[in-house]
Amino acid sequence: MMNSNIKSTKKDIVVVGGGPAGMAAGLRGAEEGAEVMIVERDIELGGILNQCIHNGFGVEIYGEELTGPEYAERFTSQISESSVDVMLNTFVLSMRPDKSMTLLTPNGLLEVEAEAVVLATGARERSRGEIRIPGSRPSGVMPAGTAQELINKKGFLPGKRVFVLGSGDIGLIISRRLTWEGAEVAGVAEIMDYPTGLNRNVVQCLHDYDIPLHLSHTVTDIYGSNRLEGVELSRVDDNMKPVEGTGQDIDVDLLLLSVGLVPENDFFKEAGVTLSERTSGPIVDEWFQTDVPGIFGCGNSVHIEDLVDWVTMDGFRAGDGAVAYAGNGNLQSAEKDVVPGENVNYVVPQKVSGEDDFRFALRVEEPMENADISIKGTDISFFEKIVTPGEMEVNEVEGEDLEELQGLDEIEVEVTRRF
Amino acid sequence: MNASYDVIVIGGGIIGTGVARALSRYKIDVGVLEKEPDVCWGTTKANSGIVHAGYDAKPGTAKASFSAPGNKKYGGWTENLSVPFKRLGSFVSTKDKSQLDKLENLLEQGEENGVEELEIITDRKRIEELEPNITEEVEVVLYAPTAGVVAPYKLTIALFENARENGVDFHFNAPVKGIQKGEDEAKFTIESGGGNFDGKYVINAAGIHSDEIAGMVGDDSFSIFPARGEYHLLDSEIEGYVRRINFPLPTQESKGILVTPAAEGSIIFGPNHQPLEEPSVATTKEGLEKVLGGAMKLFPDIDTGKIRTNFAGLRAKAGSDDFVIGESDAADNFVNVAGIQSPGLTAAPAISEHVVGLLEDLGLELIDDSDFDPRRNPIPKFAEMDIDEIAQYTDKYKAAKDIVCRCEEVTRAEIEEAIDRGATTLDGIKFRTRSRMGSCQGGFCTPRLIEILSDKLGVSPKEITKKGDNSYLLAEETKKGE
Ligand SMILES: Cc1cc2nc3c(=O)[nH]c(=O)nc-3n(C[C@H](O)[C@H](O)[C@H](O)COP(=O)(O)OP(=O)(O)OC[C@H]3O[C@@H](n4cnc5c(N)ncnc54)[C@H](O)[C@@H]3O)c2cc1C
Ligand SMILES: Cc1cc2nc3c(=O)[nH]c(=O)nc-3n(C[C@H](O)[C@H](O)[C@H](O)COP(=O)(O)OP(=O)(O)OC[C@H]3O[C@@H](n4cnc5c(N)ncnc54)[C@H](O)[C@@H]3O)c2cc1C
Repeated sequence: MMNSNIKSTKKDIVVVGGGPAGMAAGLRGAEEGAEVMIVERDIELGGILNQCIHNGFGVEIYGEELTGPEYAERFTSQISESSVDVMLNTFVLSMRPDKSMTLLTPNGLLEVEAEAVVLATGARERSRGEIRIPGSRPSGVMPAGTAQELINKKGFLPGKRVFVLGSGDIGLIISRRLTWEGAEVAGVAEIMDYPTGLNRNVVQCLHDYDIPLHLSHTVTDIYGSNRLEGVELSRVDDNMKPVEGTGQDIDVDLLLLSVGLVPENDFFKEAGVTLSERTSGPIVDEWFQTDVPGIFGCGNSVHIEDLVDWVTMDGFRAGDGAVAYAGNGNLQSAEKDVVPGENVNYVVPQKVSGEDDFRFALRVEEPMENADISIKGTDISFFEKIVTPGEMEVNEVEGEDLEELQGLDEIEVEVTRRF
Repeated sequence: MNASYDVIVIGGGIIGTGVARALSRYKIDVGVLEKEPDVCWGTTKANSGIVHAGYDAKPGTAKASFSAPGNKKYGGWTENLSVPFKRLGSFVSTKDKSQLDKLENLLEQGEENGVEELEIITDRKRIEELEPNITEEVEVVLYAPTAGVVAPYKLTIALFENARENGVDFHFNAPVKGIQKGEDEAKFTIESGGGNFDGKYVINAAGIHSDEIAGMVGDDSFSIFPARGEYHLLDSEIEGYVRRINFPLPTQESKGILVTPAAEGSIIFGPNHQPLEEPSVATTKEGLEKVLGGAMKLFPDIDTGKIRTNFAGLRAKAGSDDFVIGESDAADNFVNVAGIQSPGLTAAPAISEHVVGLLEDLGLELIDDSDFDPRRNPIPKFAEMDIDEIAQYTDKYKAAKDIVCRCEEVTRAEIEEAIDRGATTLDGIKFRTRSRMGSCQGGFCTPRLIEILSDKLGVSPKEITKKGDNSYLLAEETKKGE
């Protein structure tokens, strides 16, 4: 039953999520003349950027190292001058496959019908339960991003002697931040035998501060009944299983988990979009359109990206796709599957038309030196001195190369050693 | 002068709050002393949440005599208290027709205990209809339609709120440290960390510590031996994959590792059975692996990637392996309700009424209080409202437009109301509203919750804790760029 008091409105494009991905998609839409609404549940636009006060954002796009908030500002200022309708403190209560949705705004409920929808809802951090660390359940165990928010946005230090599990960028950056704030970082553990974050961050955040990095190690027990009192650190074998008898106790009052992000995919599911088992995000084509026509995704909600620059570029692309779809209800259909081959964990997009230039992003399964990233059965190939699962590889297929794809039913991307 | 009560209940678990609420219908003064800052932080918060049908216990034991009657009272109990309770029915499954006699014995035992509607199913098609994803190897099932699931913490909180509405005083942060028996008058003086209290009758419902409390009046007739049980809790996303309460064949020491929907939507696996020297609710690698292994025997294809968290609870086993309910031989008017191991949750409504009867037999005069209201209003739950209800609710409360916990869709209005109703910690809010119970396990909302708690309680964010005591969340302020 529809309540007659509920207001309703129509838009060409509704973007859910006002982080860098959503802002780029929304801006592009408005530039192309579409009526755009950005829905953001937080009190401000910017997403995760607002709590990343370190610099290192924008190297690819602007050629300079901005802080997260500075990078966000470049977009928020353009948005405020554009025709984009920004709805802050607004929650999507339900998302339907026909691209209508119910919003809860500070002024009450709002029904919105959209021609095209872009879901740019970002990612959430994996929790302790998901990696199943046994032990007691004291306070002082939290995701690194939560600690980052507490420190950078709320002005509180959540602990004084800290252990960090996970050597991804978030874990590395928080270690340095904690040190600056006067906390002692007792160490960082990584279950893999290589750090998963960017190399520059390993150097600048750990080495420069003499913070030990324990590769092939993980936390196997948690002590303390009220507040965390310590953790047990153990070595793992080649199958990533803890080795009996290698445990050492480390006294800390804070354990930060930086053990991966998972795309916020709830709305894709609600809208009936097919998800990829590898990324947990939607299966998308080169315009970031999902298999529900008119529903797009971009940024961390599609797959976890390491550089905001790529997020922005994907946002623009999704914005272009949404404009085209909203204009005539039609986008070139993408029939060719893009599939991961040798040493490829995943590739995005998972479908392409083969008609338009496209960028593809992949993560490898194992580190490799002197690697060729290539499309099987073609001469399309890109050389990389070193590839690791921690660094996303982005390449573009354009112009004449597209012709090479003509004969293929399926595009298999592989990473092999050149020599 | 000490606050003085007709009855003092020690312990705010399901038993203590159940007894307090049962007493609140009479014109007597009742006080509850709880060592923690909230109710339900002992065994009652971490168990399987099953309202057992009642076939497990040996006829003639206290366990048997309170289980089936307790089960029968659950419908009315939870309806008045507005607590979700679902009679899903339970399965005891075996892979082997040769085990049929064991199930038949259980069925007979159940009937003797007064359990109704028990049935043995050997028709595989019917088994699948009732439980589609159970391993195809299961051939015989004891089906008990009266078994159900309840959220034990919701229930205990509801009992507490209703008892309080009806005049019971709750004293938190009041660990009992000593009990003095008055010389000539029938009176106890109880020393607690939260002050001293006088009472004519004392109910010992201190769970795992009930032997220590009994010892304070010279009663050493029983000891409590803790035995830990560990669990996996899955994301509510796979709600529906398991539909009944599934047990393997029981063993001597426990009912085995079960797989069941939880009352609030998720699925749980557990518990194992690990006797301990020292009480501890830490989970262990071995324990969790055992639980997972046990669960996979019944549901081999369940998506274990959906495990969201683990927890453990402590069984309070008395030496006799039965409930210890009755007046102490060592002290008149001192009533033990101890050794309440499983199925204590199930038995709680029957035990509560029985204890009221006991007190009356001991001379407590019970006059009905005409103001007694058995009903308790729950906190309105945004996540369960339809669009019209949301429209009304959000029109009425500004704070209802502010969703704090995104995973479970909990609004600031709900959180503030939970605090108004007595939550003082993150765990207190969690058990009342489900915030921090969803997919992200509090990653997003914890900073907001700390803010709301500190605003409402008027204390610094540094004083906010996860679960009282030293479980603070923030160590100090940052340098703020100094
Ligand atoms: C600690 C950390 C350090 C990083 N460091 C760097 C770096 O140095 N350089 C670099 O280039 N990149 C860095 N990154 C990566 C980069 O910041 C992210 O890839 C990027 O922010 C992802 O953008 P997004 O828009 O997809 O997601 P987000 O920034 O997470 O934005 C998602 C937005 O959607 C909103 N939202 C979600 N659900 C809903 C809903 N239901 N309704 C309404 N709104 C919703 C959220 O509130 C949020 O604002 C870092 C990331 C982290 C976490
Ligand atoms: C693993 C496991 C699974 C179970 N599953 C089920 C099930 O599925 N179905 C079922 O029916 N039963 C089950 N049970 C049993 C059920 O949980 C218990 O019977 C029931 O919770 C006992 O409640 P209680 O009030 O006696 O104890 P508790 O909940 O432990 O309450 C005792 C209270 O006393 C307080 N206290 C202790 N010492 C003091 C002191 N000195 N001063 C003041 N306060 C004090 C404690 O803080 C606590 O709040 C299970 C038990 C376990 C351990």
